[in-house]
Amino acid sequence: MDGVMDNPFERFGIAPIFDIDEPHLAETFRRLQRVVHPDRHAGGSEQERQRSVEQAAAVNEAFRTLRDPVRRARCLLALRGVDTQEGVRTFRDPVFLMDQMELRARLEEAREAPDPLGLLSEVKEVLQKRRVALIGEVSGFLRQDTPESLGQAAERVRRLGFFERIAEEANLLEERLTDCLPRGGMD
Amino acid sequence: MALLQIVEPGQTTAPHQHRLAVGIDLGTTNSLVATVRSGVAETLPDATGSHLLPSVVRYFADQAPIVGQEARDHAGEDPLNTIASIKRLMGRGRCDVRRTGNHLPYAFAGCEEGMAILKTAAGEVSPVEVSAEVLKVLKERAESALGGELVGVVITVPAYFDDAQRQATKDAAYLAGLKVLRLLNEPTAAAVAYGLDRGSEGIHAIYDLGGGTFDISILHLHQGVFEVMSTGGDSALGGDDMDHAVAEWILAESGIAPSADQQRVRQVIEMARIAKERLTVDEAVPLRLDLPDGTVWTETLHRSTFDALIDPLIARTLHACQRALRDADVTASEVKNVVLVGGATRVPRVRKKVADLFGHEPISDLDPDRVVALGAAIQANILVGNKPDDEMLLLDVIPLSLGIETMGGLVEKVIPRNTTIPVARSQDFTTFKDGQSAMVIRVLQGERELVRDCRSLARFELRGIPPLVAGAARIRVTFQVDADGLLNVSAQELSTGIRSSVQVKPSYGLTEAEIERMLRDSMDHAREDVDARNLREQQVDADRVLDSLAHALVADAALLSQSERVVIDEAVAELASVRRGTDHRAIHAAREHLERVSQAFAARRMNRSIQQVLTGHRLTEFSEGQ
Repeated sequence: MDGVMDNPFERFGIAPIFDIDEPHLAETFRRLQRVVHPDRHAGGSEQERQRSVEQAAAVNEAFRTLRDPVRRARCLLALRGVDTQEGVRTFRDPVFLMDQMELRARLEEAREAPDPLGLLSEVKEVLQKRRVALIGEVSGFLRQDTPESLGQAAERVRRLGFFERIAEEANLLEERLTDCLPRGGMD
Repeated sequence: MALLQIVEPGQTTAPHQHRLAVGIDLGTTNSLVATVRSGVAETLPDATGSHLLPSVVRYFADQAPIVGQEARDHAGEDPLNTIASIKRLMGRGRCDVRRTGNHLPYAFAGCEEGMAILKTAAGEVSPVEVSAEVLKVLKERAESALGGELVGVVITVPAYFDDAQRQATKDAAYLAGLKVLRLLNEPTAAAVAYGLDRGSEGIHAIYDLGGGTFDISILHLHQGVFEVMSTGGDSALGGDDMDHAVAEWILAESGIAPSADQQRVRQVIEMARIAKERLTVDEAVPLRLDLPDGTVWTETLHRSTFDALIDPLIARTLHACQRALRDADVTASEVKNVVLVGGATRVPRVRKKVADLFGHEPISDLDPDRVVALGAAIQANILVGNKPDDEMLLLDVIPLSLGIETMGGLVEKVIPRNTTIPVARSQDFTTFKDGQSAMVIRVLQGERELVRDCRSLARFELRGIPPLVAGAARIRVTFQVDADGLLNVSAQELSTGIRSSVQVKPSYGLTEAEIERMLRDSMDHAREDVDARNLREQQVDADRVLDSLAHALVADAALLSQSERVVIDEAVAELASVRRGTDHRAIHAAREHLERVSQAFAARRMNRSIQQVLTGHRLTEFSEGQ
């Protein structure tokens, strides 16, 4: 690993802020890959090709972090020394907990419902709404950049993590409902 | 026509010399080879003018195998020694074979575990060796058409091929004496051949139904970059299955099913294949079969019956399409173009169902049999450096999740499917016994939670873990998938920094020793000289390194100090000198030496290019007119 370049913002040569220029990010990604991708070093030595694979993998990883708002927020908080403590801290906010339980219950219902896909897409819509609202809050807190607001941002990221897990479950369920085939590497 | 440049053997190749490179479509039913000549990609025909080489190999007890049409013509009379559709067995184990076993009328040999091995008159052969025979014929065809040795090839594989299937394909190329520049996914190759990036930015879908494999890829195209968003498919579903569905219908309708032997089944499958092809144009085809009792069975197969027989197969492909769309997070209506690839997309029912799903007529202007080879040729031409200014870049994804076995037979995903490659992810492990010096990691590929539902790729044995108390060692295992979609595992103990050696036991692949043995066997058979082959390989590698370094030195000499330059120049002179001789070991050593002393230079060049991207970005936007 290239220690100097572990910061994805540095790797992309952009300021470590939440509200980034997304088209510029994608453009930089393509330009970087044009320089480091193994296909650009097909004629090089063994070492050069190995280096190119490592660099291209690092560019892909940084892009994956930067393009997704939740991963980007987590990364920014880590860079500012704030641990989001996901999976460690629990929530005491009863409204949030009720909301979680309700969404999960609706997913369970969808399994048995006459129109499971319709119910599923309703759940996904709610999840999307929650996500957009929380990301807006994260953006605001990160912009304030005070110890208190960063703590608030970390709390919102933890909530986003919960919604992401429900969204994953919803996707898995959708897959199971629409695929009649078992999936491995083969049939 | 450019003037011929005369180069002294062993000298660095002249800057603009055209390097010979081809693209190979190693298909289930047919294979092709293509190249770029005078800027145009074209498939190469054999002496009789035929472009398609049937992927059929017939083995004999006392002569070299024959490949292609002649082998296919005799499939009926010598079914056990005539191997067709071998692509379906690449990287597959015996249990996999049994699952699709009724379709493959061969004699299998060997143990329960490991790669499927076939028994033929020429002895036991692996699918890798059978594929190598097909590749050898294409290599000869290309070298005689182009008048020289190939510098490198791009071989296409189904996007949905897993690691074992990809490795098997690469091993076959090695056995055939080909230098693989890249394994390219078939749908991506098709997108390249169509030049979809030019003037057609946006999201495209490639639906590729070949003889034995199905792929769907959703791509985002932007200024020469082909970014695969998701891919899906079935590496055991294709036109062959349509033939088998029709053949089963014929066997049942004619009442000969119970008494049919291998030869009869082969004959009926061939009849089904011809009927399928005719039904792409005709509404009905007459069938006629001589029965064992001397009577004749006749029947008419209508297109509607045929459609009903293949609908379940098409439905499977449409499910895969929906899943790929979901993974890419796009809807069918956002897809700008749907491109049809593969011979089986000639079937009208397939075209109609695909059009229904995506809501518009699919594109199929290029010959669906040749388009993949053409795209591979274009990519090969760029990879050998014939088009240094080309902006094209292909960013593919891993088709199936990679995971490791954890307690209780569960799989923990390390790299999820549709992650852009190359990719590297790490996972930390610890020891559970004092002084434990080795551990085994089992790697699986697939989407299911249980180990037994996924494909086992390999067992990686880590050795040389420093002796520490239980739980104290922290071993970071890095899983790296390269641009070919091939997995590489490395391991390091974090507290001591000691690297563990990683020994791989592929579940369905060949070990390095087995490949070397096969190589020697095939050379004994062809009376080819191992030394001669080694020498040629070393010469080609030396030329490649000299050539690329010469370009780099012209472009970036400023990045080297005078003393560094002297060391590199000496190493270049040394390699150029031994390159003229016949000692392949000396060439190998001189090349490795040159690579070592120029390593820092290469790294500096890459870092400088990265810095240019990051700092010069805003400025170059204007100068490049974007």
